[in-house]
Amino acid sequence: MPYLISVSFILLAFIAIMEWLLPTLQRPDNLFSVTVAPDTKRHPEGRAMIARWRISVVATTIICALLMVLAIYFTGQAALLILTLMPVAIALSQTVIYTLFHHQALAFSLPSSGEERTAPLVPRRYAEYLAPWWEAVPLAIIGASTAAIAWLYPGLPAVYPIHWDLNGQANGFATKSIASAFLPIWIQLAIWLLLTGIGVLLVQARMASTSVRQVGRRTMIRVLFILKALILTQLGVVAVVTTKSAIQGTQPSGAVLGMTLGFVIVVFAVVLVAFVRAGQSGWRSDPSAARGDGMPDSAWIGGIIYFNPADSAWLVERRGGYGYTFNFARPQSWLALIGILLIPVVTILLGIKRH
Amino acid sequence: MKAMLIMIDMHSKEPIYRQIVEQVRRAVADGRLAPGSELPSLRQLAHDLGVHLNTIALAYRELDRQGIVRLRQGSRATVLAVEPPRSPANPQALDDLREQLVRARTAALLAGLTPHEIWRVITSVFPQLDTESHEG
Repeated sequence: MPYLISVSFILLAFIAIMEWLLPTLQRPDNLFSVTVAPDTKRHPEGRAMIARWRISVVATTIICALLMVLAIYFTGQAALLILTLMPVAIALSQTVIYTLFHHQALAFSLPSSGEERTAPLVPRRYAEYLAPWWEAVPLAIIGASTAAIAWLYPGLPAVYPIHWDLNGQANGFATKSIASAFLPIWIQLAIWLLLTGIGVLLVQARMASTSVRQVGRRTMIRVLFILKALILTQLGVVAVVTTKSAIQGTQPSGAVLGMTLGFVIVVFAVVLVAFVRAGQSGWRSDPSAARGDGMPDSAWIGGIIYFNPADSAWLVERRGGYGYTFNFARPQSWLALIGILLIPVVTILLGIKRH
Repeated sequence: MKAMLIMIDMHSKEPIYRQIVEQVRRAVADGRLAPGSELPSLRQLAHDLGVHLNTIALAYRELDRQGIVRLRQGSRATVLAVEPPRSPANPQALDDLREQLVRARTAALLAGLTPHEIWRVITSVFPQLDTESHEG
């Protein structure tokens, strides 16, 4: 439980820092998802608005932190429920506040946003952002995990624990087979495929495209690659440690949980440093990316949801934050969304079947 | 790397596909798009500009018809070589140029531009002429 609470606090701090920085990391012509004159954020009114946003961020963060401190005094299911619902509550409250600020920022809106559009006249390929031989790194991590488990496999007992509760009591068991012992490897392979697929898709996604250098896209694809390597390493180490403790008949050591905590911190640090350096669309390192994304303000519902039937793109850069979002007027977006939602559902269903 | 960007105005009276055709033609004539270089896929350009796939397909087909690019099934549109300077010049091309310049002269004189201003505009459009005048 202390680990879960620590992870929740790290998550809260991470969200608070990202939200605090949001107005300065968004493109200069983007004020709470509204296309504005690039100097608006330096004007007294713009500065006052950003200051009010930051006060709201601090206030929400303090309320959430207090609720989490309360969770420490609860035990068992109640605490677990509070910690599970907390990220949802944080996301929801920040969304509502963002939408309120979006409506205020409409007062600064430029009348002609989304009418002049630019695009690079050169083809984009995944290999331009990440040389194909880099993929040898995640594949080597998967290979090393496979070799380690294959080496441990003969020593596995016929029935062994594969899942433990927060108190370290085994609550899930498996019978020895190639399928069960190498399950973490299948998961690694699936994650590698999924994240590489997302990287390839991001090459075609629309971003503020006044820049030929495409710094923002480069950052996104490289951050995704680093996260992929980190997740695969984490999974591999956990798989080897739990297999080893199954052979020895002991509980996996607390070092696994400690490593998970370190992993979470490293992941957040990588994301934070990358976005602070690049900024939305990469405009901080490439000022030519600092102009317009060619999307009309009216298509951004509440500044967060993009719905534009006149736009053929289904994957576009987010206005209201970092990363990408769907154009919900396109059927491909709904298919992709259903696909993403199916992953946890299928995982849960598979889990139920195993029990 | 040269900023090889295309820009379209959604509120222009000129159809979007014509704007794309004109900008690609210009880029090829200026040498910003070298012969043999590839244009983005239909999907990439349609998504980047936020316009329908058919608009880009129409522009690319028109560029293919004009002999600016070559379209082949299953591969990207490639820029074709520009006609090298030759003597004697293509009479049709000379006639076309003369006709367009006469129209431009009419517009310039009706607008009251001075010969000096006209020459400045012409040499900014045709930098080659400026060099020759200095050499001559």
